[in-house]
This record gives sequence, C-alpha cells and structure tokens, in this order.
Amino acid sequence: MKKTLSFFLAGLLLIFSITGFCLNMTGCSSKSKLDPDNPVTLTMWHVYGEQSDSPMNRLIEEFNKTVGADKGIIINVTMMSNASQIGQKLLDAQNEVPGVPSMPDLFFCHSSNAEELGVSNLLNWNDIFTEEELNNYVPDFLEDGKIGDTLAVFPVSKSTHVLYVTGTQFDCFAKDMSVSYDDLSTWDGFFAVAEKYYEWSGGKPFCALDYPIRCVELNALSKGAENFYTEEGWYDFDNPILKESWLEFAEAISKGHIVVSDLYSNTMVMTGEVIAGIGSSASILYYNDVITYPDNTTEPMNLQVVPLPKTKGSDLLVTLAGVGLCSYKTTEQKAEAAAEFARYITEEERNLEFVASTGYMPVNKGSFEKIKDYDFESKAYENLYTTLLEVNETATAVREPSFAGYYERVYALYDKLREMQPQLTERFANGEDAAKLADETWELFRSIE
Amino acid sequence: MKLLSGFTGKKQSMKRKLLAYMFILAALVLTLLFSGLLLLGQFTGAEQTTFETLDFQADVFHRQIESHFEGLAVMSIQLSVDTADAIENYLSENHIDFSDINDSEENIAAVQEATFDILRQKLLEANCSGAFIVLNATVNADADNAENSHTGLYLQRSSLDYSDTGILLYRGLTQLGKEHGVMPHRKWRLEFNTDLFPNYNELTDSAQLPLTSAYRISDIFTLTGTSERVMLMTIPITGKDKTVYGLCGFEISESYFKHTFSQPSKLDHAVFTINKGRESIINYADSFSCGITDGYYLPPDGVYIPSPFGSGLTLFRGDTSSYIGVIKQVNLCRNSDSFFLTTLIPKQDFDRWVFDDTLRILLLVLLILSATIGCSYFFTRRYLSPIKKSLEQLKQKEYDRHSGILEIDDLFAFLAEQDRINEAALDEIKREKADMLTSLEKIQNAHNETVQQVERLAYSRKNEVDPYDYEDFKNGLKFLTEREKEILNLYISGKTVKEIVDLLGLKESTVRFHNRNIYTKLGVHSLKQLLRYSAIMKQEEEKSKDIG
Repeated sequence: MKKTLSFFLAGLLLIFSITGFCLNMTGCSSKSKLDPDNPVTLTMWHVYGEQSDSPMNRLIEEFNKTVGADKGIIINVTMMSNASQIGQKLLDAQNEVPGVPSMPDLFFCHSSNAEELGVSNLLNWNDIFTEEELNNYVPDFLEDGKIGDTLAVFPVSKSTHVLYVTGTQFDCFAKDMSVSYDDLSTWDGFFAVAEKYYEWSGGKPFCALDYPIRCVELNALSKGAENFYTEEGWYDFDNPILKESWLEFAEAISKGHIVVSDLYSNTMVMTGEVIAGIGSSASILYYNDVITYPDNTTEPMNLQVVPLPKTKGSDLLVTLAGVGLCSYKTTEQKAEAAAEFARYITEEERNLEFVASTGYMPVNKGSFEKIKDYDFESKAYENLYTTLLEVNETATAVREPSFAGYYERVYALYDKLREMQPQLTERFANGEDAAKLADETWELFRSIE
Repeated sequence: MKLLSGFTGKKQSMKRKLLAYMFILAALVLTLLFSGLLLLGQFTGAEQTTFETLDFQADVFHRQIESHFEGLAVMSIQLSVDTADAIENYLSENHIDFSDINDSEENIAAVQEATFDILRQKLLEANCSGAFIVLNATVNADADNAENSHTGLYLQRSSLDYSDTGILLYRGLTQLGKEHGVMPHRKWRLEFNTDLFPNYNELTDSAQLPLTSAYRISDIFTLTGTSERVMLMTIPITGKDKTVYGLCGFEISESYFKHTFSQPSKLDHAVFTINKGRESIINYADSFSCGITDGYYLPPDGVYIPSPFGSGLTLFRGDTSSYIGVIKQVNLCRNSDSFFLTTLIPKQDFDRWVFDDTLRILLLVLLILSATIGCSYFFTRRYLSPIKKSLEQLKQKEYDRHSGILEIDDLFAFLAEQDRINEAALDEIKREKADMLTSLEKIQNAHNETVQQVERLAYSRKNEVDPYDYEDFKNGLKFLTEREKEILNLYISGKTVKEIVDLLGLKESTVRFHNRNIYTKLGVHSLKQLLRYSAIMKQEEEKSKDIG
C-alpha cells in the first residue's frame, strides 16, 4: 500500500512539475528561449528609407511573416531616422528624455554612438556568431564595428561617398564649356568644373557637399597628412596639410562654386539649386526622377554616379561609412531573437537584394561577388553599382572616425558653415579675397570644441 | 469498488473509511469553491473573459480615437479660418482677387509666406503628423498637367520623437521653407497633384456647409514618392464671399497612428485597427493599426473574413492567420462614412487561454484529489496506524509500551491496573474455592457417615419392627386415595401439618381427617411409626434397585 501511494504521489509531482513548467515558461524546449506560440517583440529604430520607401521595412515584414513567425520573433519598427541624428536620439532615449520613444531593442548607429551608449549595454555579436559564421563577412566591415574587443556594431550594409551628377543638365553645360566627367576624377578638376559651372549658370553653385569635412580629410591623407586627430577626438589644427586641404575646399565655398548642403544634397539637386551632389551612396534612394524648378517646370534627371574625386597624383581614397546593427542588452530571449534577425538580413541573397535597393555595399562576401550580375531596378542604380564596383577594385577605403562626441562637433561645424556661406559668397562677389575668406572658415573650424 | 464500499454502512477498515470520508471532503471543497467563484462572478468561460477584456480595450481605444479626432476637427476649423483670413488680408492689401494668384509666382510666394507660420504653428499644436494648405491655384498654368496641379504648403513632422520639433517641407517653395528653417522632404515636389487626394472634388463639395460640419476624413492612401500611408482630415478654406480658396487640414500617417495609439494592455498580443465604411472586414490596405505600448505590433496581413464566434466576439479568418476580436462603430465626422474600430487578439492566444483554463481546472481538481490522498496517507501513517498498532497491543495485552497517543497510554495504564485487580480477585476466588472444596469434602464425609449410621439404624430398627404390621403397612398403601398419598409424601419429605395445610390450601381439620384415614388404612398408630415404615420401605426399594 505504502509503495503504491509513493508511486502515486511521485507521479502527481511529476505531472504538476511538467504542467507547471509548460504553463509558465515560454517554451518546453530547454535550448531555445524562443516560442512560436508566444513570440517576443523587438522594437527597432533604423535609418533605411526615412521619408521615402523603406526596403528595410519590407525586409522586416518578410522576416515577421517567415522566420519570425516560425521562431516566435516580431520586429516592430518604432522609429525611422537618419545616420546623423539617430545617435543623439538614442542617447535621449537612454536618458529617458520626455517625448522620445522608449529605447529600442535593436537599432542602427555608428560605432561612436555605440560607444557613447556604453559598450557594456550592448550585445557582443562575437558571443552570438561562430567564427565560421563571421568568416562569411567582409573582415574590414567587421573591424569597423569593433569597440575594443567587442563587436558591438554588426555590419549589415556599408556605404561610401560618391558624386551624383544630373546627367541632362551636366551634358548641356559640358557641351557648352568643353568639360567632361573625366574632369571630375580629381579635386583640381572638380574645382575647375565647379568654377566653370558657376560662370556658365550665372552664379549657381555646381555641387552640394553633405560631408565636406570627409572630403577634406581624404584629400589631406592623399597629400601625405598623417594622424591629424587629437587624443580628444578632434582635429590637430597645427597639421599644415590638413589646413591646406581645408583651404582648398573653403575657397571654393567662399567663391560660391560649391556649397555645404542644406541638409541633404539630393534635395538641392531635385530643386535645381545644384547639378551635382557629394553624398552617401545610400542617397540614391531619395533622388527623384525629375528636377523641379520654381515655375513648376520639370526636367528629367538622368542621374549619373561617379567616384569621389581623388587628389591628383594619388590613389583614390574613399570613405567607409554606414551604420551597423546594435542590440541593447535586455534578456537572453531577446538576444537570441536579435541574432536570428541579424543572420537573416545578412544572409547572402537577402543581403544582396537589400543593398541593391538601398544603394549600399553588401557585407556578406558571397553577396559582393554576385553584385556584378544583379539586375538593378533602374539605370541610376546600375550607374551607382558600376561606380561602387570600380571604387571597390581601385580605391583604398578609409574608416570614418569613431570618437565619442565627434559627430556632434562635425554637425555644429556644418551648421556654422551653412550660416556663414551666403555672406562669404556675397563678400567674394563684392571683391574680397577668397583666400582671406577661406582663412576665416579655418578660424571657424578651429573654434569648434 | 473497494473504495466505494467505504461509503456504505458495511463494516470497513478504518483506512478505507478515512479515504472515503476524505474524498467526500474533497468533493465538498470543490463544490464550494466552484459555487463560490460562480456566485462572485469569477468563474466564467474563456469566451466571456475574452469578450470582457477586449470590450474594455475597445472602449478605451474608441474614446481615445474619438477624442483625438474631435481635437483635430477643432484645430482644422481654426486652421481654415486663420488661413482664409491670411489670404483675404493679402488680397485686400494688394487689391487683387483670389483668381489673380493663379499663374503668379510672386503672389503664390507671398500667400505661402503669409500662411507658412500659421500652418507650422497649427502643426506643432495639433496631434498629427502633418498639416497642409492646398489652394485652387497653380504657379504655372502652362505647365504639364497644370489643371491637376495645385499650389500650397504641406509640412510634416520630421520624427515621431515628440521632443524633436523638426519640420520638413513636402510640398511648397523650398526657398521659403529654408528661410523658415524648414528643409525639403526627401521626396519634395513643388505643388500638389490633386491625385494626392483620392477624392479631392468630393472634399471641396462640402465647402458650402458650415465649417463645423464641413470637415471630412479621407480614405487611406499612399503619399507620392514614399511608402507612408496617410489619412487626411480636410476642411475647405472659404472666403467671406463663399469663394472656395482650397482645402486645408491635417495628416495622420500610418507610423504616427501606430506610435500614438498604441494601447496600454495586460494582453501580450493585441492589435487595434481602424477602417472606414466597411464593417467587419479588416483589410491591411484600407485600415490603420497599432499594437500595445510594451512594443508588440504585428499588423494583420491581407483580408480577413469575419464570422460570429459567440459571446459578442467575432472570428476574423485570413489566409495566413486568424484573430478573435470585438468591433465598435464610431462617427468621426458628420455626414460621412462611419469608421469601425476593431480590437483583435491572435486566435492562437485565445486557444491557449482556453487550454490553460482547462488545464488549470484539471490541475486544481488533481491538486485537491492528491491532497486528499496525501492527507489520507499522512493520517493513516500518523494517526490510524498507531491506533491499529495499539489495538493489536491490546489484544496481546502488552500494556507496558508507549503508543505516542495520550489517551491510549492512559487506557493501557487503566487496563494494566484492572488486570492487577482482577488477578488479585482471581487469587482470592481460587483460595476460597480451595477452602470450599475442603469444606465440601468434610461435609461429604459427614454425610457418608450419617448415611452409614442411618443405614445401620434402619437395619437395627428393621429388626425391631413387627413384620406383620409392616406388611399391613405396605398393603395399606394401595388403598390410599390420591390426596392421602400426597399428604403421606409430604409427611415423608419432612413437612409438618401446618406446612401441609399451607402447601395444599386445606383446612387443618381436613388434613387431620386425612391423617386418621391414612393411619387406619396403613395400620399405624403414630407419625413416628409411619415414618419408620416409610424409611424401611425406601431402603428396601433402593437395595432392590442396586441389585437390579
């Protein structure tokens, strides 16, 4: 009797334990924390397609319907921003600034932003991906996402800066002024073309630059400048080559041949204010097909994409830009879900499709190899990827600075330059010396702390 | 069956009876528990609970939507009035008609300048994602598609971050925007194409109505150049002379709706949708949706066919997923299509609740039953078994052990004392018995001696009796009547005359009469002689018996 009762009680205990576990836990599997019947939601902020069509949103929608549904993961995009603003918004969210949406589980940002958020708050992708898996990605891109030994920013796509030219308008100008796209291959040629366009157009700037400081840096590096950053993460203003490079651009700005873009060069191109723009390869997503003038007449854009000019006599240096994916540390379940999503969006075919519709370079080695044969959605995209492949084969990539607080200073510099720009042009038109005006911009640069 | 027999009145073991009574207790507890829950309204089915939860959520959602759109309607009316005033001020100051604005870069730029700050201010004040003013004029009447091109301003908030007051210019003069610190939208265009408004003409038809009933809400459509879907609240801009200058209003984008209307909820997964004019059909293409504030959001995908599910719930069945929901109707503007708000949970969640509910009840029953069995086992081990063991000890008369039960130990002590007393009494009885046996033996010996003396005496007397008299005595016996024999036997047995009178209920004289007859018939003269002859006769009879 005693034995029977003991067996009965033990059986009941077992039933209760199993049932209780199944009722209360998210899943009965001991290995995976994910449960398809009780999906985990990861909120996300990204920068792909703000204000326009977002290939990332489509990718997420597809993920939620397929892998997400199978494994119990839902990605919910709670904010779309841009690479220049997302870092500050993340800091605000982390500091629970009123009005700012809650800190997302997944987000895209620069390494410098990730450092500001605190590496210890972020998932180390090295702990998630195996060495074999990591071998599938371009090593330089992985290196770009490292903060110390921590792979905090996982590469999903990478961009570089290119020169966009409105083909219809440039052809017209080129014909009249005997210039060609080849002239845009060097900075000297670029400035000369800008000057000619200024004259030809009756005082309109040729090109808007989204990231002028980056052009200055690459030019300085090509001229032989070495470490021009200070330990504080800003510029060494005693570096003569850096100053020389700055003054070249500053003179062109002072003369009104080129401008620092209002926000994005593509909008200035679309409104006919300029016929060229230097910006991220990802800007292509935002270009319209036509240029619209103030009288509401339009012209087809026929967008051409050429590599960033190089310094005469030097090899082409290009910037390696682009944000990466970070996962804010919360639960093991969310970490597992984040890893699934990261694997999904960087899988060879998917990575290729994604970047091909956003103007980025793929991070998966296999995707890179297939890009030549890809059937692009428009001529503009085809032009872009022809250029990107050329750049990839011929140029040396230079990583963007990732000092904490660096970009806040850069954006402050751009704001002041934009403010100063009309006066400089006006003063130059009134006969002031361009070199003197450029010196003033150098002082402005130095004043940024 | 053995357990059931515990409930009958038949004799059963204590263990079985205890188990049976524990089950009765368990059944009673379960009945009381479920009855109590039922009376308190806490014991309801999953459908009812789901309906109550979703209905509550739907009510909250309903109130929020109603309040939000009412506020937006107020702001729209103000925007319309302020814009009309600004336009009329400009027209008045410049002594021109509204028609002079058409095809005039200068006038259009001036009107946009006059209305820019009004629009921006209202955009920042109103709960919306964008605000617009569309005028019935174009900057270039000769441009392609000029008949559908309308000048105006369309501003959008640049972010869902409410701390960010950044604004983008989606439509309007970029230079003007820059002068006001507003950068062009990535997909900027100079003018509105009226195909931006799916029902533009219909919207301006309400221009003759008072503003309080002239506002409308557009169908959901995708903004040109973007993937953002929006819903517009529009209201005509009408001059004092009833000239319709255009439309103005506010935009609610899909992202804004999702962000702003996310509902606080205890539910893990819930989706809230709004759609116009089509009851009970949740179609992603013509509805907005939002999730819950903790981050969950997964929009319904495609078309869902509704069917009643009971308890006020509706089942929405789609190609890839199904939902359970509650529908509410809401009128967001007068003389216009109704909107339908639907609160949904995934069907799999509902199924899991039903399963969990059933499992919980089963577990509760199992728990109480197992507690019953466990208690029975415990009581048996700790209570009944010691009693049974003690009963065995009682049988074995082992009172010197400790049972662990106070009452039983007291009983043991009592019985041990009783045993001791009984044994003492038994010893006394045994002793008395032995004494009695000794006395009896003495009496027997005395008796034997007496018998021997009697025999000796009878023998000696016999020899003294006249044989003829004795023979007459024996012969006379056969002549005695029954009554006389009876009286003779009483004399022989040692009774006196008085005792015979009492025994037979005769008068003494009657007895004495019988005495005389007896004496006469037997030939005796005295009772002494009579008794002697009787003893001799009895002795002779016993001797003959012994010989026989």
